[in-house]
Amino acid sequence: MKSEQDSIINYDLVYAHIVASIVLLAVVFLAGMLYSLQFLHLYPFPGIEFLSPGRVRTVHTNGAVYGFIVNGFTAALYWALPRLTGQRVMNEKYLGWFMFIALQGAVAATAIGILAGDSQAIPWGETPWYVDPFIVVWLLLALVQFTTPIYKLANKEPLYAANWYMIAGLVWIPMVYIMGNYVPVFFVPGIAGAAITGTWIHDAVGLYVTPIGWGLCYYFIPVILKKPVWSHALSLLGFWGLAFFYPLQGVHHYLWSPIPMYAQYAAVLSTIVLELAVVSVIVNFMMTLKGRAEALKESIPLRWIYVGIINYAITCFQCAIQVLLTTQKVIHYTDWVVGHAHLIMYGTFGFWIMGFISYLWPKVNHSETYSKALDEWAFWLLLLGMELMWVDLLAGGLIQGFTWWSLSPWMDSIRYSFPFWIGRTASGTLMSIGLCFYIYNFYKTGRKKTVSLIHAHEVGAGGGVR
Amino acid sequence: MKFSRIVLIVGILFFAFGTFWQAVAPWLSLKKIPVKSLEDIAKDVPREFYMLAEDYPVEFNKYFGKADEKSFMVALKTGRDIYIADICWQCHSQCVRPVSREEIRFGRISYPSEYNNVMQLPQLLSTRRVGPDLIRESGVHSNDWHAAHFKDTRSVVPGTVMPSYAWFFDKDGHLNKKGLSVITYVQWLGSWTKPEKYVLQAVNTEAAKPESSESVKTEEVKPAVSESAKPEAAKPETGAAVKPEGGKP
Amino acid sequence: MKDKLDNFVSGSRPSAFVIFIIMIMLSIMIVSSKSAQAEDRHAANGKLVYDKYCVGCHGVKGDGKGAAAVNLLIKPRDLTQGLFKFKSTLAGSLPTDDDLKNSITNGLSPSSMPSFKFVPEDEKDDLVAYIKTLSPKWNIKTATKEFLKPTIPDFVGTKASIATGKKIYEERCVFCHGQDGVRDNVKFHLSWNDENSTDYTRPADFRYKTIKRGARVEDIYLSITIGVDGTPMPSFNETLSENDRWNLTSYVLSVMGKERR
Repeated sequence: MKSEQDSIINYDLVYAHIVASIVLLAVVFLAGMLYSLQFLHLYPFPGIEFLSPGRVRTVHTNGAVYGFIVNGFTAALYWALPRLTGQRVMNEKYLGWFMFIALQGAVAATAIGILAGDSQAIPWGETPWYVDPFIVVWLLLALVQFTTPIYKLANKEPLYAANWYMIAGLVWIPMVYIMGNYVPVFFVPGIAGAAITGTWIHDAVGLYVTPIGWGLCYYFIPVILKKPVWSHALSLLGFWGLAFFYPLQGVHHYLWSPIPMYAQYAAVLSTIVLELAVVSVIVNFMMTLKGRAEALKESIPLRWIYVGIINYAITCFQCAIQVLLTTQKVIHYTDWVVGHAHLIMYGTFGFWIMGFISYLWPKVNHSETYSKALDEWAFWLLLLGMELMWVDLLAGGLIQGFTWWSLSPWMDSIRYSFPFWIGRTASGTLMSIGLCFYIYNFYKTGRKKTVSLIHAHEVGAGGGVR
Repeated sequence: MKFSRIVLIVGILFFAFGTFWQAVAPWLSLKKIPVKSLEDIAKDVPREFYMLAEDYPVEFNKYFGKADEKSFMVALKTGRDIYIADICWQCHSQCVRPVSREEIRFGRISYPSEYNNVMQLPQLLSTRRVGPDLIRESGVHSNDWHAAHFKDTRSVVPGTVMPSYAWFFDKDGHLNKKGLSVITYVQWLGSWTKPEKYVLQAVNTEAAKPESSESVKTEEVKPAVSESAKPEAAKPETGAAVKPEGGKP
Repeated sequence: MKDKLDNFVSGSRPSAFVIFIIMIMLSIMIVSSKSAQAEDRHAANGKLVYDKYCVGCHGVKGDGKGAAAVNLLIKPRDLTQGLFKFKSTLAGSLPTDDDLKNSITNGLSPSSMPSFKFVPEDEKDDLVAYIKTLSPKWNIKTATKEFLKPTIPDFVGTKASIATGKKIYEERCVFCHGQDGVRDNVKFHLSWNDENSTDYTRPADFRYKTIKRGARVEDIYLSITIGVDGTPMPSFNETLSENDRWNLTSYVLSVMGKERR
């Protein structure tokens, strides 16, 4: 059975996407660190147009989504989907490799386009206009590529929750992308455009990153723990909660703006009610862990995933608090939101991808982790840095918000933020050191060709590609 | 098989409902506000643009020629594009909220119709304020203040974290087309809310007694920053009843 | 014996008197030094405020030669000269504290002096105290510090007043401010001997509907009456009657009401 599953996975594609994801993660870290130096008056490239801090920041955010997360998810999908469905993806040799090259090309073109000043003023959608069509085509190809095995399986037996999430994410994202990257840029100006932009920002997170992330967790957690998920009913509740409430909350990025109030109220309410869906998912994952928590000691991939889940719980409860119109008076426009975004995008989905990669990388290399100690160091440094940055930016955001409210001169808010910006760079440095450990370990694991006996057996039996 | 199709259909329906409520419905309720074209905007050229032509006559003549509506259109469009290209919008919002005393700090609270023009395509409301809001920036600082600030931000505002923009200047340190355009754009932002006729009520009507004009004059010291705080200024002009409620703090 | 006694008495009386005088002087000195200390403390706080907001343009020494000054067209005020443009006191005298605070609070639009209205009031007071330490002129007690607080007469803005004002304008003002208030981009170099000096000033252009002093009707009148110290704009306090100055104000207001070109 196992060998059969292995033979339908294209190890090369998983390998390639993982490498791209990690390389781009390093680029994202570098860009983020560079940008944070601007706030300490230490920016190393002042006066260079193509490395202007604003542009570097945009590379940071877009690289995180289109480079790191999409690549990481694609790698995990190439692994998880065939195993979940027992079917091959549509086409590996041509479509798979074309998609790989096209994605890296699109990411590179986006980065260069942003640095050259061709970006669009849509948050998360700064991809230049000439890259947008290619990304739409890529997303459609990904839809075809990854829903094919699910469709094949759906003809035979009922679908596991993970597949639901994946279908949903893959179907939603092309529509959302077209809406976000074309309508407010070319057709609808002003406040209505802001409403659409807000919907796009949140749909990108909620209707692609979240369902795919959840779906992959619904695969990886039972596989690593070697036990089924606690409750399938809860997983369905989570799915429908997500599907119903996530598309409704876009405007909460522009609360107290001139956007019609009914849209703002709906956004606030649905954001709060979404906690139901989030809680159902988190309870499900936690109950799955019940009785096997000691696995967290040995398995670093599992630890990444569960820390991500805890971060997810924190962020989502924070979300329900910060979306209140009263809280928004203070924290909107401040570093609080930046801290929140970091914890959700890296602390949750980023950590999940790190977990998936830690789990997959030895497998696609038929080797073992080079150094468990390095892995531990990387984990704890990244975790510590992440949480410090979150707390730091939250505190800084509150200071900024209250300084503005108190009608102090604007520069006071900058001066008071300075310690927090130092804290951000320091925690970013911690994370960067952790990432260096991670990458070194990653590199050595990839080089390590001493194959253990069990793996050798698997390779021989499955006729694995590498 | 059947069930998975239901998933697909219901998922799309949910998505459609959410998108309708969050994106389409606001668009429908704001549709009656006409969208201003660049020509419409250029009917009201802010005085700062003419001042710019006087402040930097050589540079202005080189890149734009005469200061009129046509050159204003060119400068404004270029300036907006540079505002986007240099990602100014990620550190400067363009929305004055009715909370947290922003109407005192920045000026009149934002209202929907002022955004319905091609310069807000894509919209530039933004979600972060490292620097101050810019939607009421017109006239708050002078043109040469902006030029000096772009050239060396920290010399003008000690301790600021805004980077300097060396590429807004040519080799000799004079403003180039980018610099002039950005200043034009920034000085245009909010110019439609600045009262230009502030001292004139006393004069234009014969009947106007100085006493009656007194209130007007003393209230509105400087068009620059302070005109805002009047409560009636907070009301939206347009009939589109879409202003966030509870606007009065 | 009596001589001695006389000597003693006559000798001691003046000495007692001298001691008495010295005591009084000492007490005056103590009192005055105490107030001087308070003044110093204000000024020291003001220095901190100055370094926060002003130092970029007005320079570390307050001489108007800050790092940003080279990039500004109209140069920042040299605070060490003790020469201030916008004040409510007569030409040549020093401004009141309120005048300085007014300039700080509202800024001098359309020049590059921005408004600092969100700086707390006590910081502004300290800043004014510090500015007053920058020039030795502030040490000399001026005899009277009468400042003008004009009330607008009824006739301002009437057609007759505007017509009279126009006549005066065309006699006296048109050379700098230009026909109909269009200044035609005249520059006046403030270093009179140096034509290439970058330190210049420009007459107000009334098309822009604002003058630096402020947006009130009285501000126009004050500028005419007091002039603008340190620039070619003279005071018309002596040369025009009060009514004529108000007529001129009417005319300037009507010019500002015109549409721009």
